[in-house]
Amino acid sequence: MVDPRLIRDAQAGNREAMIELLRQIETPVYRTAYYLLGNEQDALDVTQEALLRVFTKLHTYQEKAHFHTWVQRIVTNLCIDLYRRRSDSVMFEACDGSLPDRISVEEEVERLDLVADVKEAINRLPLHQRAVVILRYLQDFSYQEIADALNLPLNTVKSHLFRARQQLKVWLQDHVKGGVRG
Amino acid sequence: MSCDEVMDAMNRELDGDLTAEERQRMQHHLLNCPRCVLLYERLRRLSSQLESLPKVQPPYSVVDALLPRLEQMPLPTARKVRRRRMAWRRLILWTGGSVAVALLGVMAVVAEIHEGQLSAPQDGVVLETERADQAGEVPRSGAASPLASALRPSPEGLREQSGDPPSGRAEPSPRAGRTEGGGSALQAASPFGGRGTAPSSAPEAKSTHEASRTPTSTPDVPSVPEAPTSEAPVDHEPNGEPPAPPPSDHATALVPPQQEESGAERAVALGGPAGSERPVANAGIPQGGKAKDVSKAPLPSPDGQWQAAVVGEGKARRVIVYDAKGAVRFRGHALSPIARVTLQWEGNALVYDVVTAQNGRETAERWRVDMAAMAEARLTQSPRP
Repeated sequence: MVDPRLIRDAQAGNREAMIELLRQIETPVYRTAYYLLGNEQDALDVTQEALLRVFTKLHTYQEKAHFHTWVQRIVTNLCIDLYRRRSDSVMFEACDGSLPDRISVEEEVERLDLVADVKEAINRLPLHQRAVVILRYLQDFSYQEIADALNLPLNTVKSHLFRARQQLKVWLQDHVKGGVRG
Repeated sequence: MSCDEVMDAMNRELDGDLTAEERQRMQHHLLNCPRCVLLYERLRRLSSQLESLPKVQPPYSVVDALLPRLEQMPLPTARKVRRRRMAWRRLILWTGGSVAVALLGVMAVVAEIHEGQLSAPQDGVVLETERADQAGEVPRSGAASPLASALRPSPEGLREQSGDPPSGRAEPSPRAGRTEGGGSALQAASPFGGRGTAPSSAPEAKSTHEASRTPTSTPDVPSVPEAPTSEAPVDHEPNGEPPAPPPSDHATALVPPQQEESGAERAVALGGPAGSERPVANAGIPQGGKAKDVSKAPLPSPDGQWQAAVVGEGKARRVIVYDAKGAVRFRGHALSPIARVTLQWEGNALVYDVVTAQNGRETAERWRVDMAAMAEARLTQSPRP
């Protein structure tokens, strides 16, 4: 929990307060980025970007939103942005190359492949489901906080989370079976 | 409760969302439905697996790594807005009762609403890129329109506004690199890890743009820091932040392709004294010295560690420094296709002059690339008749 006074001091232009604030949010920001993007380097890049955003945008933050929700919104948006740009470029390459329909190939792989661990399984989730799972389990957010951070209706948050669990359960169950068989 | 309802309840139970009564009903169902018991067992196992995911930490302090950069950036505050609000309130108190008060009161309310809208952070920031950009909160440089970007501060822009790029900055902004040149797929190989990250070309693109308009600026002073917003600071930027530079994916559009010598590579040697920071008086006059036409061959640094060259990338050109193995270690800002560029090494720093002719005037800029910091800064510029 970030001290509201620290936020107000930083908003009033106190640099030390701002730096201290950034230190306090650094790890939660990195954690979300790490699990959303699936690798350390991207997570570091996005963390840096998110902290810069907080630095330049904190004065627009209003206390009616939870500070952590506000911060997580910034970092999830940046991750999704990066993810989409990456996807676009992959799709662009796919159009040029010999892979006619990358999505269907991926779906096929998803059905057949076994999942080694939970982290890998999370990486396979659709982006929004992944984000919901991460905010629920890595940030301990409530449904409402997730809804605020992702700007999704409460029911959508629930259905994303429940579907994600269902999907993860299947993948990880397959893994267990595969392990037994193998 | 049906099995479907129980499924929902089981999920909510995992999230601590069930009332006592709902929990009772769920347990009642579970007593009579072994299939749901099995499902619940698996769900619980999954949930505890998710709960025990490693609480990863960054391998180093990102804040520490950012400190040199943050020190150079102005810290925006809401003070201006508050001061205005206070002024309004005081005015209302002092002239209470009069007709003027009523009028001012209305104006104050309107102003408050207006400001409140501008600074509201939580309206409409959504996962969808487009909507979030419209909402104005958490603007993303990659997706913003050129106009929107110009009016909004971005970290890169603020850094540029503060003067020289901070020395000792360990790595370039990931965003500065990735959003440029039309996306990561189009980026050249990265000098810092091979992921298409180019050292901050956004601010330099702006500088090029500004230089062509305001050739009389003094070195190291941002030339037109407040031009876009100074007339109506409250309307656009209630915090008084300096405007952002255009992101460099628009750089080529902002540096107009000049017709008179379309695309000609007219790099001309310039024999200025090494380390000189005076305006480039004789740029364009071929002279001897160490400088050479680098559009044709790379210019090695005195110690042989680096090779500098002007390289064309699409319509734009830029100065690129390679290391001894030929890997790109520095990429400069986008240059006009017709700019004459001369390079020379001063020890471990590359100094290059950019002379651009436009409408009968020549604009000369001198840039210095510090290879220790892997950053460039504009040293001087002077108008040429």
